[in-house]
Amino acid sequence: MYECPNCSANLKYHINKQALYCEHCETTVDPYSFHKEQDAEESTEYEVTLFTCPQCGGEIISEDTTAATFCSYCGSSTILDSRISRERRPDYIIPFAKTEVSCRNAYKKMLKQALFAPDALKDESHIQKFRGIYMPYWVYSFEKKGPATFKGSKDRRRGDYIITSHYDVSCDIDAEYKGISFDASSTFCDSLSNAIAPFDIKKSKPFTPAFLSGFYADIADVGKSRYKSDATDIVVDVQKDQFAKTRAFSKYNITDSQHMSSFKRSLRADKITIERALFPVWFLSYRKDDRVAYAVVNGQTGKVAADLPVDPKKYLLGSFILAVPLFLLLNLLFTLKPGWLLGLVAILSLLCTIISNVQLTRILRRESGDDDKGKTNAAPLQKKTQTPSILQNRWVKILIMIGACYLLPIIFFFTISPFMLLGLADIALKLFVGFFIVVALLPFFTLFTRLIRKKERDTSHSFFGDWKRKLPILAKPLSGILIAILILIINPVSDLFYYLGAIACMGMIIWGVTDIMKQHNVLSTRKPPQLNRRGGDEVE
Amino acid sequence: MRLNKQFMAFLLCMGGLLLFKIPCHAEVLYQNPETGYEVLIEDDAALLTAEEISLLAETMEPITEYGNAAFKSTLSNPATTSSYASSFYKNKFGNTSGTLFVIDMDNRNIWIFSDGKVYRTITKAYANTITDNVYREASAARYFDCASGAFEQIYTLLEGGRVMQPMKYISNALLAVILALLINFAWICYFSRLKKPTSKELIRALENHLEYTPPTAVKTHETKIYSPQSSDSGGSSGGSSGGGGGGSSSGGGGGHSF
Repeated sequence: MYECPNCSANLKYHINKQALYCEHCETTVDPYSFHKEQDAEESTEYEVTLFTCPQCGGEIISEDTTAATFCSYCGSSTILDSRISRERRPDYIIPFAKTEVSCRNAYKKMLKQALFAPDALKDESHIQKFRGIYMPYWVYSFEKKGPATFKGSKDRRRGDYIITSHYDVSCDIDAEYKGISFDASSTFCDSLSNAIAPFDIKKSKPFTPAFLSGFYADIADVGKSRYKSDATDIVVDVQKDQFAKTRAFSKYNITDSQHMSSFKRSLRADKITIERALFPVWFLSYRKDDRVAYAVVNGQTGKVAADLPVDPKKYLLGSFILAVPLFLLLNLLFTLKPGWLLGLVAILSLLCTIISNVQLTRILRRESGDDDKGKTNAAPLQKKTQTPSILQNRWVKILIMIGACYLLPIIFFFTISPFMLLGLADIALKLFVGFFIVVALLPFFTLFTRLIRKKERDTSHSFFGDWKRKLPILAKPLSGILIAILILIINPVSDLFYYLGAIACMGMIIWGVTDIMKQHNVLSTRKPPQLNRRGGDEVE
Repeated sequence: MRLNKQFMAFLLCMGGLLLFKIPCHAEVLYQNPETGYEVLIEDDAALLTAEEISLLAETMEPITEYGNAAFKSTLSNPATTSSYASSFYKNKFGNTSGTLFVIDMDNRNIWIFSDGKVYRTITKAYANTITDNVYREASAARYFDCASGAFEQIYTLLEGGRVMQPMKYISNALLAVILALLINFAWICYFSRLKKPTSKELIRALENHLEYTPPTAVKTHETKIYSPQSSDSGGSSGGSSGGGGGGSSSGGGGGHSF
């Protein structure tokens, strides 16, 4: 607590005045006028009140000793346990520049466009719960001074030959990149912190605890080198842009993909500094049942990001209203033949399957923490020891493939022969064509699968994986596709079969879309955190 | 007595004509005195009795206010019903306004082809709708009902009326609901996505400086790759492709298998 030098009332940091302010006697005080002695001693710690949520274990610190009555992380209304604690001093801080009122207005403006958001999110009493929290960040700085040699090349054509001249391009470099920041709190989801980034590091100030007066701060629990590679990638991208724009270097194509490894090697930083910082974030949580949705506003720039769940009633109503002009438009423009209708419905069903699969993959990744580097670092997941499956053996795979080559034609023959015997040669022919289309597409599908997996090999959940968990949900739109394909192959004369098939398929799609909305709501909300925190440096 | 025998033979022949369907050739059964449009029935597949032909002609007569009205049935057609109907109509009526109903017993298809003024009303979509409405009669070998039903619906549409298409409305309603659900979902996804900052935004927020001395390039080696130039790249593209034209492709229609 900071006492006013005039009236001894509690001083709080005033955003508009950018100084400590006394509401009683309207005195403004420079934040750096406090803690001078400790600063002089270059203390690495400072004393604060540590509030712990009894529900989720979330911790926030404050200079204020007044009891905190709700937890911003799990959204529960409870008196937080408090105790005096000593925390590591950050190196610098960006003070709040956006007031709570402007933050609320920015959030309200965003919600105006969120047509399907639940009313509870727009409720004024809920919006009042925005809390100013200084979020811990790791700030990475890269420095490179001295000679650098890049590989470069130039192409020219001579007759039927392309002649490439290779060069060593040398120069002295003095480069510095400071302020690539990543949040250091496991409670602050990477997706949200990225969405309100960046913070303008140029406006940062050396840390003094007085800035925290009237606000809260979170504790760093993510290791400092967690985002080192991400920060390096950003620097490489920036450098690539800068060098590509410089004619003296770009004429040797030093940033081409073939020279990229040499480019990265040459610009490898001599010195990497990682510093602690506190950045201002307005934080709001909305809890419903066992899910929590966050809204965050960058306290420096006012950029808003929020988890926006959907109210199913509003979504259905909105869809039915939109369906009316669409219905009139369809009647005006199209008369679909039953076969075409069934084909179109099958395509829509396939679209639903793909959307649902993408969302399920994202849900699985989130559940396992794959989509949040901070979370995985703060609470390392225990990897299951997998027993190697017999199917993973190369020779077993080859045997299965050989077996399949012999078995498939036999199975196929037995499938079409009853139709042939019954004189239904037309259906048999269609089955035959269908079979060969599937066989012909199989290599492309396999290739596509491998390409996708190659991209996703660093994650444990991929678009084509986890079928056992996904199938019960994907079965709905998939069964619609199967119905459609079956009817199109049999090609009955009566339209009734097509219409019934199309209606069944559309029913499956609507069922599938309700699943998609549920998945969206799972993705736009989060499990309330269960924390057992330790300091960021201890994680190393 | 002789006269009686002759009379009896004549009656038998007439009865035979009425009872048995015998193939009949193209016959213009009616010509509208005001418009000059004709009613033509060519039942090569012998699907209709003489009585049915005259009844069908009566049904087709009002259509001649707008264009020719033709019925054609065939037992043999190596081409598609669509092309058969198109070429048959062009042969008989050229590009004049009218409509043709074909029962193709070879391909088991019924088809409506229209041209000219009639085609503006009896579009492909309506041809499909009408054939959808009458194909069941053809499947049940009630060819007269099928053809007269088709011509009645054609006339209703030409008169500015409406034909029943309940399945179109039901399927369009469901399709509209699905499309609306998906469009709204796309909107939700677009609106609620959490965007990462662009590299430009990141650079702006960074404290960065880059200085370098003018680079010196030393050539290390040279490589050569055989890459023949395309032989047709320098070719002339002159010459005009004028003329051409001809062969109108007016008209169109739709059909259904039975």
